[in-house]
Amino acid sequence: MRLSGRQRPVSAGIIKRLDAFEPHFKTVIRPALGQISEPALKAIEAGGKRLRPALVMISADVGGALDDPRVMQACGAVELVHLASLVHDDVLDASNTRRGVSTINAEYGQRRAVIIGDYLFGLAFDLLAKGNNNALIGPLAKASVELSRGELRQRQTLRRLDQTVDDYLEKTYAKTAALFVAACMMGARAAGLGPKEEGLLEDYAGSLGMAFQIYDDILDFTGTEGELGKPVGSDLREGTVTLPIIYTLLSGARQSVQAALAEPSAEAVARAVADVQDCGAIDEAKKVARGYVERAQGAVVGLPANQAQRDMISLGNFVIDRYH
Amino acid sequence: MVITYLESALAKTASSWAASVAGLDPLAQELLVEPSWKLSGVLLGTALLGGAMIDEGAMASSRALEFLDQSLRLGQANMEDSDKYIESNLLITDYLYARAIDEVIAIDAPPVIGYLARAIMATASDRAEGEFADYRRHLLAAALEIGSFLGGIEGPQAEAVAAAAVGAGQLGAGDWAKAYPPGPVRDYLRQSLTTAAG
Repeated sequence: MRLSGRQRPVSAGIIKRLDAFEPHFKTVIRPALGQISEPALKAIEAGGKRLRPALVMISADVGGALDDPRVMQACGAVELVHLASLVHDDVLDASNTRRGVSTINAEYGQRRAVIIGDYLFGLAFDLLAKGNNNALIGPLAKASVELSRGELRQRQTLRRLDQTVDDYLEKTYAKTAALFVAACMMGARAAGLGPKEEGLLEDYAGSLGMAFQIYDDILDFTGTEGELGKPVGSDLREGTVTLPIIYTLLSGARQSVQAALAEPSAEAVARAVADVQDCGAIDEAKKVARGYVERAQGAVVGLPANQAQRDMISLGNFVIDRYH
Repeated sequence: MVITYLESALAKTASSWAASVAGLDPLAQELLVEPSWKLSGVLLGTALLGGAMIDEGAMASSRALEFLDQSLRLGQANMEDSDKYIESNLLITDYLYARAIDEVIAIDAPPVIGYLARAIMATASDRAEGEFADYRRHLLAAALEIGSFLGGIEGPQAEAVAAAAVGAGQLGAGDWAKAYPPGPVRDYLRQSLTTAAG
């Protein structure tokens, strides 16, 4: 589901630029060799909400800089880093589908998918370097370090039952929220916003990113295979210990989750999913996610009361609503 | 004298590299090997040829290049064994790519980031074509280009360095050095390029 699809949580001005972003985004990959460009284009065309580009645009709009050419560059770069991480994620998880579409590794093999992810990452920074604007590169570089560190942590802690809520939140920030922050910082810098606005946007983006990931982890238990584009309970199957799983473990309903993490047979996963759904863990996790959305929406109160502010509040509601 | 200066700058680069490595995730630290410093030697030597003093910008760029070398080496070592690559090293290579870029943010020199990014892209393009063994030529090219940029090399000399960068790895010291006045730095570079390409 794209932000520019039927459900439109952002203003017409942002939708218009998101629509213009799509063809622009495809052109960045065209100069690559056929061995690269075909699968890379496929990764680009596989869809996604383009939430990070939208955040770049909205943050730039705070300072009235929506049409600054650096905004499109920043949108492309942040989405490329995001795509690179998804492509490598699918390699590591040996996933065959994402959003209902076959993955790069499923179609072109694991090795080629590794190469495509590398290329997309390099391309992101090449794109920004050509714009010769270090102020925009810094946030993306920092977020890329965080993102890869978060992924490393996640792999190191697969199937471990001794993880706390704080461990989960720290990983979630690194894995997801840091790139949301980078998107907003890049938009803010393209617009030349001051430190106060940057601080508020950082708080907004970090909180929104946390809420987004927590809801995503909830959806793994409450969605349908059709909505998810992958089987329900995939996190359990892969051994990723998410917030609903941690709350289930804390509720005392440990046995089924422990069994599914140790030996993820279809029956064991189905039993554990039922326990996660029934023990109150989903409500607990939703409470945490809603808290982050409230914090995000609270942060933007300090920004000018204009369309950009309304878009940011609306995006917060979108993150909650898309699960209901 | 100038070679002593270069060697002292290399020693400083090595010690600042060690400090950067100490801040890495322990898993990444385990997979690193001691750099040969040949890439750094080419970068710093090229900057010196342009008459620049070796400053934090040149040393940070050298560290970035060495991080990239480690990352691409891990990738290459495992390209022929995709299972091992995926299991143990993919996330580390991603992490080191990001660290390489992050290393030069503070020096405020986007072209340096461009050279590093293009070395990643060129290596990926080679690998997509089935070429796994030659990533160092892209790093050598980046070392020459970055050194030329930081050294403020212009005109025919810049063209000579650019030509050397295009032919890096195949040049056997190459004719490019003829564009420079004879001297110890030119000899040092000639030797470094020959050994770094090997």
